[in-house]
Order: sequence, then C-alpha cells, then structure tokens
Amino acid sequence: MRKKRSKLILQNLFRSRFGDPSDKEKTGNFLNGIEDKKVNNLDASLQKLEDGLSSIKREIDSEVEKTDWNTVSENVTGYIADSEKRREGKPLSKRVNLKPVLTAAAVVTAVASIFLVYSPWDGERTARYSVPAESVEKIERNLGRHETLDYLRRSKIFLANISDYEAGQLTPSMLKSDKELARHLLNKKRYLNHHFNNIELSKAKNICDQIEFMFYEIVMLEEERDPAHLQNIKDFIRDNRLMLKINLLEKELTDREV
Amino acid sequence: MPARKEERKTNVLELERDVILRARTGDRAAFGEIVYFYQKRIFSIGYGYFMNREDAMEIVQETFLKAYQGIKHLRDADKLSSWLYTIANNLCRDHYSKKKRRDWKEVEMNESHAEFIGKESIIKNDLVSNETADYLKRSIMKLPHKQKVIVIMRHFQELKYKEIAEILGRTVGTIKRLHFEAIKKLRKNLEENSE
Repeated sequence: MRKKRSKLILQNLFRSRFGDPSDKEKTGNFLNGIEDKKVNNLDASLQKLEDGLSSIKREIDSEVEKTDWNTVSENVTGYIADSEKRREGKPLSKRVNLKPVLTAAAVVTAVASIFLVYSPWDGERTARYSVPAESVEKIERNLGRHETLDYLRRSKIFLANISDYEAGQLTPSMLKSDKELARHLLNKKRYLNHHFNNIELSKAKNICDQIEFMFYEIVMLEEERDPAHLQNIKDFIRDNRLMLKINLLEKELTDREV
Repeated sequence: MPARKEERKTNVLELERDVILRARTGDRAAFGEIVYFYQKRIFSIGYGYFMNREDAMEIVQETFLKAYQGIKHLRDADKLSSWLYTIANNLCRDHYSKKKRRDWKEVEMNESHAEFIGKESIIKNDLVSNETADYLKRSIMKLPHKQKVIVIMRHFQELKYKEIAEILGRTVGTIKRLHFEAIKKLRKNLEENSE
C-alpha cells in the first residue's frame, strides 16, 4: 500500500516536473494533500535529475553552436557523392544483396512446383476450384493498371531522350535502335488496348493514344528528312505537355496501386 | 525555447515540398538543402545517444547517406522529418551494438561499456557537479533503446509527447509510460550513486 502510494507521488511529481503543461495542471491538487517530507525528498531527487539533464542539454547546445554547419553539410554531401561513386563502381553482385533475391526465387519456385503438382489440369477437378468473378475482375483491373504504369514509365524515359536530341545528333545507329524501341512499345500498346475498357483506366486511354501516335511518327523517321521531322515530334511532345500528362497519370495510378 | 520552436517552424516553411520532390529525383543540390536544415537535429540525437562528438558526426553522415539512397521511396513528403529521425534512431542502435562488441574486446571484462564511453565526454558545467552529470550520462546510455531515444527527444530536443509519438509511431500514452520508466531508472541510479 505504501509502495503504491510512493509510486503515485512519484508519478505526480514526474508529471509536474517533466510533463506537458496540461499534465502539470492536473498534479497540483494531489500534491498539496501529501505530507511535506515525503514529497520534498522525492522532489529533491527529481530536481537533481532535472539539473543533470539540463547540464547535458547545455553541453549539446554548446557543441551545436561551436560547429561550422556549412562545412558539415558540404562534407556530408561530399561523402554521399563519394559513396555513390564507389557504389556505382562495384559490380552488380556487390551492390545488390543477392541473399534475399535468391531466397525469394526459391520460395517462388517452391510455390510454383506445388501449384504444378496439385493444379487442376482435367475438367473435373477444374470445376471444384472455381474462382469468383469479382476476384477475376479485380486481378484483371490490377494487371491493367500495372501494365499501363509500366508502359507509361518506359514511354516517359524514351520520349524524354527523344526530346533531348539536338538537330543532327541522331546517328543512323541511334535511329535504328530508337525505331526498334518504338515498335516494341507500339506492340505493348496493342496489348494494353483491351484494358482501357475498364472505367478506371479510361482516362489513361487518351494519353496513351497520344504517346502511340508519337511512336508511329518515330517509326516513320527517315534519315534524309529527320531534322524537320524530329523537330515536329519534339514540338508535339512540348505543345501537348505530354511529359506532364504522363507524370500526373503515373502518379494517379501509383497512388491507386498503393 | 520559443526561439527554438520558431526556428523549427521556419525550417518547415522554408524547406518547401518541392525541395523534397526534387531530392527524390536524385537532385543533389536539393538534397543538400535537406541536409542543411536537419543536420543539427540529427547531430543532437547522435550526441545524446553516444555523448561524444565523433560518433554524433558519424550518425549525421550515415543518416543522410541512407536518406539519399532511400528518398525516392518516401511517398509522403510531410513525413520527411520523422523518417529522418527513424533512420537516425536505427543507426544509433546498430552503431551502439557494433561499438559495444568492438569495445568489449578492448576493455576489461569487469568494466561496463557505458562506463567506458562515459569517460570520453567532459562536463563543462559549474552548477551540477561533474560527477553527477557524468554518472547521469552513463545511466542514460544504459537505458533500453526506446527509453533512451525518448529521453533525448524530450529533454535535449524539447519535443512534445505528441511529436515524439508521431515520430516513433506510438501512442502518446505509451511514450509517457516509457518516459516515466526511464526517469524512474535514472532517479534511482542517481540516488544509489549519491548514497
């Protein structure tokens, strides 16, 4: 009982000394009703503690004050740049921790094996494992969103590169690889089209169609008339604020994915 | 105290969201601004944890390196400060256990790590005796990680319970309870020391 009371006194003294202002108000009445000596002893020890803590705080503040923070921030950013350089110089196997990747791969393989062994290949067994239509729709919707996002990200990087080309900079080999990439993205878009029936992705259709138009133009680029043609493509990207639209759409879809 | 609060408020206002967004795209200059605004706070966490300048500076460097590498994954720009605190706290904990393992090899087995580290710092205060403050430092270092972090944030950074709770992702009640536990231990240690 005595111990409990001591704890209660200590709790109230703690609140009055170290608590937020609202806590301090609550403790006043309680402490007034306690015999002086007990409160005084405990309070003295807390006072000593508070003085000690304040002393350490003063030491930290003085360390902060005597530090040249401009130099520190320069050193820190330099340290980051150095670390990044070292990191980029390392082979991929050293940069990436392969242990979790290999573990994940092993788990996926195991699950896939179990699925293959127990999967319902014949019609009779298939009937027993029916999936609700709602789930199928949801999977389809998520897949559509995921694929659209992937398409947008690739297109964004590709179009940003195209926008950066200066007249005459486009060599035949660069043009060839760009055309190949544009064809690849056109194929991807064809696969995406059926997802756009989904109401959630209908807004993406318009932007993806504009991107597709650009890719057709890139595929049709010819070396002998590329400067003017390339300029038209760049103008289209700029005038239609295509990059901004892609960024906004990308953000919207990413938020929904979360 | 009001000046410090004002400084904090100004920092938040000045470090506009677009700086954070730019930093997320790998813009080093924008990230430099983040370093400039938060370095003092991270330093005081490190100093409070290790009670010496060298370790505190190491925590500052490592915290910002981790932050730079991970900022592209920070979805909510408003959470930057608590995210940095979390990185710093975790680094302190990891660095402390590494240091402890390293120091155990160097120090005699009967001398605790906290006692060893406590020797590195010197108290420059005429109101509180060196012995008391030194002993208190060692006691703080012996606290469990969460209690230590709460003591640092509450007493050395003057944060409110609500702010600490947000940073540590706990309820205000839990923070108050852990703070009380920490104070109880520190008081008891000081009492025993003075007897």
